[in-house]
Amino acid sequence: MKEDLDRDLFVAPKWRRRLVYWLRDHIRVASEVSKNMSLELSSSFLTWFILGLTVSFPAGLYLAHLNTEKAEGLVGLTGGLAIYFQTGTTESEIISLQDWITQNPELEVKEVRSSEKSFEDLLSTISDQTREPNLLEGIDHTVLPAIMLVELPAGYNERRLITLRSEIEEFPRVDSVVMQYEWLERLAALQSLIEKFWLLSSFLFGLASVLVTSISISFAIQGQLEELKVFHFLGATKRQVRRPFIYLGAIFGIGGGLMALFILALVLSIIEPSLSSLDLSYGQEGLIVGFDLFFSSVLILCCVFLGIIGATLAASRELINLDELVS
Amino acid sequence: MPQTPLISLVRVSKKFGSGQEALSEISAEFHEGTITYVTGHSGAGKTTLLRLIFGADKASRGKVIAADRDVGKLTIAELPMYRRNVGVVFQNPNLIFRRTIFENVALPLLIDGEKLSQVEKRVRGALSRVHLAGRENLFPYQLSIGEQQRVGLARSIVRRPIILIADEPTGNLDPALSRTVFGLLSEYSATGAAVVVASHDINLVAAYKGREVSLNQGRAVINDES
Repeated sequence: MKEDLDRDLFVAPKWRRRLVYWLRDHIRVASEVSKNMSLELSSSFLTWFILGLTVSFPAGLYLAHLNTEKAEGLVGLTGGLAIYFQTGTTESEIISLQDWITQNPELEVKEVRSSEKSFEDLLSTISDQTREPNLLEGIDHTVLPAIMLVELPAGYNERRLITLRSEIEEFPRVDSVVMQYEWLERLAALQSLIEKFWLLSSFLFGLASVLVTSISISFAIQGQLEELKVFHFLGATKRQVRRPFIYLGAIFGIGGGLMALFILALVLSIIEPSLSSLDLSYGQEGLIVGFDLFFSSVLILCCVFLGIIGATLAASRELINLDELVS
Repeated sequence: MPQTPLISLVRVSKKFGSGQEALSEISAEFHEGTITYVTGHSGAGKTTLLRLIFGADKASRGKVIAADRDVGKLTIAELPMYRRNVGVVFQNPNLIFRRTIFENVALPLLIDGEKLSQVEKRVRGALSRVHLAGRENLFPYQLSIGEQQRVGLARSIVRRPIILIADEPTGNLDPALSRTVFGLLSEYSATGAAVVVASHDINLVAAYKGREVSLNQGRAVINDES
């Protein structure tokens, strides 16, 4: 008893002992929460299911966004530039521009058409259509310009395209550069719309997840208020009183995340045959991109984070006046 | 009697929001190794006084000093540490009915983060002290109200606190059980702790040796001869 009387009434143990006590308390809480949850599996399952449904929508939208980008590649939605040279441009002058373009790995020169080739093509076309092969006889072939067609990758935005055009126009003998970028603007607008919708839905559904967790945990706290009161007057810190509910929030998050993955897997398994047929029609292997281990881990972590926020909110709201309960 | 008080009330008053003054200018000292009975009729301010010592309430005026510190000015971090040194027994033992007797008594030690081997040893010791050895695996609803009160007492002393406060611990008990509980509290004070017991049962208090602080309309009369 003497040693108990000598100890300081108000000072917490030194940090090493505190760390050990803290770890032991976490182990105790984790074990108790898991045990309690296993006893009330059906109500926990319901919360997981609601959380899973809520989270699966923005997660699904994200996957749709990723796969839309893939689809752009499949249907050949790539942009381009048509560079028209002045008449009389030499082959070496064209090659010097071609070399400059090929230094940029994003750009690909699809075709270089000399003025002679352009003229031959024109003659051939006229001959096919009019059955008069000599219609353009006597006209100088240099009347037509040499053309270079450059392909741009998907996602090449308008600002970069305009800069590129200015740089190309500074090359000697370049007459004009025609940009084919209207689709890029439309696509960028569409992608921006999908992205904003995804962000907005993530925020709203994330908020809904937090509220669902918070309400579930509020009920759990109200059901255990007598027990918490006892913990409090036995000297548990506020963090210790809250800790089981933070764990509960995290477990709700893990369960909700797994449920969301299950729902997404189910939906994808239903739509995959149709997507595969579509992909194969473009000569591509029908795989849905993005639904992988990294995505699953991030989704579960996000759910755990939302669960912890919900639990913290509930604990802050329900456990403010524990002292008043001591009687 | 030891000279340095473990707890001192210095001109303590407590006024509630309604304007009712529960305690008025109370001064008293509680020493190590002594038992003090706080008596008075219902509403005299006994529970308020214990709540002030426990740190569950703050005095409107005056100070509650424990080991040279003003309990009313403890920080959020200090208050739980202080409470770990103060055992509390209420009229209602406040046991957790879904936990066994062992688990109920072990709670304070688990909150402290004690080793399981140490927890087991001390829980058995505390239960043995209140004559409930061998009942560890029962649930509170399987015990009589007197036994439940003793479990509450075992839980409050399992940490070997240097201050033990008991608010009407015999309020729900028959005379025989009341004497058992008072005997246990008296025994505990002999280990060196300051024990403060609030009771309206003047006859029971008179049967035990200790100081008496009698409250009447918020004012105190101290009697060392009880």
